[in-house]
Amino acid sequence: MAGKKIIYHCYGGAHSSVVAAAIHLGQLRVDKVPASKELMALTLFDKQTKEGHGRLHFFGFDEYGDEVYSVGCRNVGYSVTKFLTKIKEILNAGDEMIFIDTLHCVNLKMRIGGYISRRLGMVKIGRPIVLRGTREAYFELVKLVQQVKEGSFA
Amino acid sequence: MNYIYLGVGDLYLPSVAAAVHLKKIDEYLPPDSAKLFTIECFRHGEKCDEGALHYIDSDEHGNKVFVSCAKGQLDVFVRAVQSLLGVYRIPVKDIKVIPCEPENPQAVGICKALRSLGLWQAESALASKLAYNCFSSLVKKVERPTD
Repeated sequence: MAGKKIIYHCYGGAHSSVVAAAIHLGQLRVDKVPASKELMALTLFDKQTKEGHGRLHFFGFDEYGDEVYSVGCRNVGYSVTKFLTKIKEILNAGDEMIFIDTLHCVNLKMRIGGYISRRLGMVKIGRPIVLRGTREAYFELVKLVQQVKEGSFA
Repeated sequence: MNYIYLGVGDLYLPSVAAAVHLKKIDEYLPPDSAKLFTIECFRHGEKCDEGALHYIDSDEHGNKVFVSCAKGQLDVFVRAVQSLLGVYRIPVKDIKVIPCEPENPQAVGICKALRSLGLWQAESALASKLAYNCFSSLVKKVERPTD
């Protein structure tokens, strides 16, 4: 049975979108901030490279049978979602596609840490910063995912 | 099959590429300024054009040709479309995104600056020059299916 395709997107596809997808699929708890080890155990968390930007990464099926993806769209997230939506219409492809921008949940530490780790390649400096930032922003991401599940973003 | 010519910041180069594809202009003769401005969608890109698809026409094989533009990062769009095809299990040959980037991307910014200063004629002149200079590389980028 075909479900919706839920696509979380952010700048680099390495932090907020990955965490949101994991929360959606129940890989992270919604009542407790995960430890850094739990975040690092997520596929792609602080591992995405710029060659991966634009690629939709499949995370799994949620309890409703919807497919959950994450993608990094750099600073063209809105245009990419519009572009893909139009292409889906042209191709008459089936299932509904929902794009959720997780960038508004990203705080300064995530931006700085993510930039240092991913862009500059200074992982030892950037990663602890982005981990701390992600843990601080965690419940914002939980709230976002709950809104998605309730259908507020449909 | 669907072809999408994707420009950066404006529709000048993708519209020329689309016109070459559809044989509306001669690929062996770079068009002059007057001819360029008769090409459909040969204009600057507005905010609403980013990510939007403008259907131009269908070629002699029935393939649809579109133009679009984005403010940058065209590689992200190309990969996103390839990913989308994989997600929906659609053959790769059903849609092709061809980036039409100028060799000197600063020209796009200068066009935008001229437009924001109200220097429309200067912008048009620069756009024509850009399209003329990039014509041979656009002709090479144009994709046509083999019979």
